[in-house]
Amino acid sequence: MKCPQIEKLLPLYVGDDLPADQMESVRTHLADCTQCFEMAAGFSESRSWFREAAIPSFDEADLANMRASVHQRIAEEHEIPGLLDRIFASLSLRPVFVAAAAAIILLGAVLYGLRSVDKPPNQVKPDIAREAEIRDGNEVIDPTGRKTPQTAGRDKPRRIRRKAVKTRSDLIARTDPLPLETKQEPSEQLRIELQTSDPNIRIIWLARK
Amino acid sequence: MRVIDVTLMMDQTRGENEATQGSLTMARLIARAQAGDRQAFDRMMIEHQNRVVSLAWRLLGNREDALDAAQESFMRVYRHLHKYDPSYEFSAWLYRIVVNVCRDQARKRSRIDTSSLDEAFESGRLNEPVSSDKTESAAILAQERKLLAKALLTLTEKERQAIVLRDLEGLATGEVAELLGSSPTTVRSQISSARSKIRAFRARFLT
Ligand SMILES: [Zn+2]
Repeated sequence: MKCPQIEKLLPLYVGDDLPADQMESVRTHLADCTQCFEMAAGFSESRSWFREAAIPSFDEADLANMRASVHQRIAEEHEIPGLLDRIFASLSLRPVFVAAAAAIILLGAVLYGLRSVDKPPNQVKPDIAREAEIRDGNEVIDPTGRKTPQTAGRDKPRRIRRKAVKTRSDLIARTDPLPLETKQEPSEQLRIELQTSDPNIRIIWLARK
Repeated sequence: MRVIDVTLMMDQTRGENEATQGSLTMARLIARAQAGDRQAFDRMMIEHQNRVVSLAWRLLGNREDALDAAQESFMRVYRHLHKYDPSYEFSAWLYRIVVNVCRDQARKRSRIDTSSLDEAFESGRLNEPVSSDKTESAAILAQERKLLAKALLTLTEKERQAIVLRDLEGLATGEVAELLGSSPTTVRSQISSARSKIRAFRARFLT
């Protein structure tokens, strides 16, 4: 091997990091080449310096603090489960019962959510002569009285809010209705019809069940 | 819940007469720590703390970060101890964690890199506190540390990891490659480059 090739191998040669055959080739070359030998000596010295240069002294107090911090963090990580254990104990509840209760609440919430999911507009029964809509407690009477099978459902608020339900009794009282009729729609829609004192005005309230 | 480890207490008593901790092999310590014995975990930390902080210092270049990295490394050891396979050497597993923690930490505070080296040096971020006995040798040591930190920071992250593990921690090239998730050829190339840079650094600052 020639000098440039040897020079490339020297950084690994000084740490005995070459395959045996290359180590031998370099060694043979260095025996005869002063220039490469000096360069190898330079690598060897800098490697020794690097290996022997002192690292900072970490005194025992620093290390003890470090370990104390580790223990503190471990304790903190255990604190939350420990707190839950204490709550269970103080309530004389077993975690399994609490888990079951939580599951029931969750299931209820899911069912409620499913029932609240909007139905497509074409599921709303359209045969309405006069339809009143209650939006946020405000009575809106369709002034045309025309059958609007497509728009009846589409224009309706996608979901009737609870506030509208509260105003129902007010509305009944105000309009002095004939007996209240409720019909279960096939699409699981609650339909409430109220006949007002005016025979020409019939209020139909459609709500999600 | 308090667990009193009788065998450990016996070991402790005996240990006062015999060589300290000599009767406990690392494997036993680790097994106890895995079983939730905090005392054994603490002993494991004591056994490894010097090498962990040294490695962290060499990878990060300053004392404060090294102590933070050591703390974080032992936390990760604690969290993942149940995954440790005792058929592998514990120190190699620990080293891998330290290297990963230091890499994460270095990326988070990427402000210290070779380009900002002089600035970091000037601002004193790389300066280690000088030991209380201000003897001449202490001053020399402090100066050497500075230079070593500076030399390490002339390397890329990969070069630094490779050379620290190979030359300062004394691992074989194959072990370094395995630890860094790299190939021996790549590691050799990084080591070669790092040694060349360190030689150039030394020639510039020390001769
Ligand atoms: Zn030559």
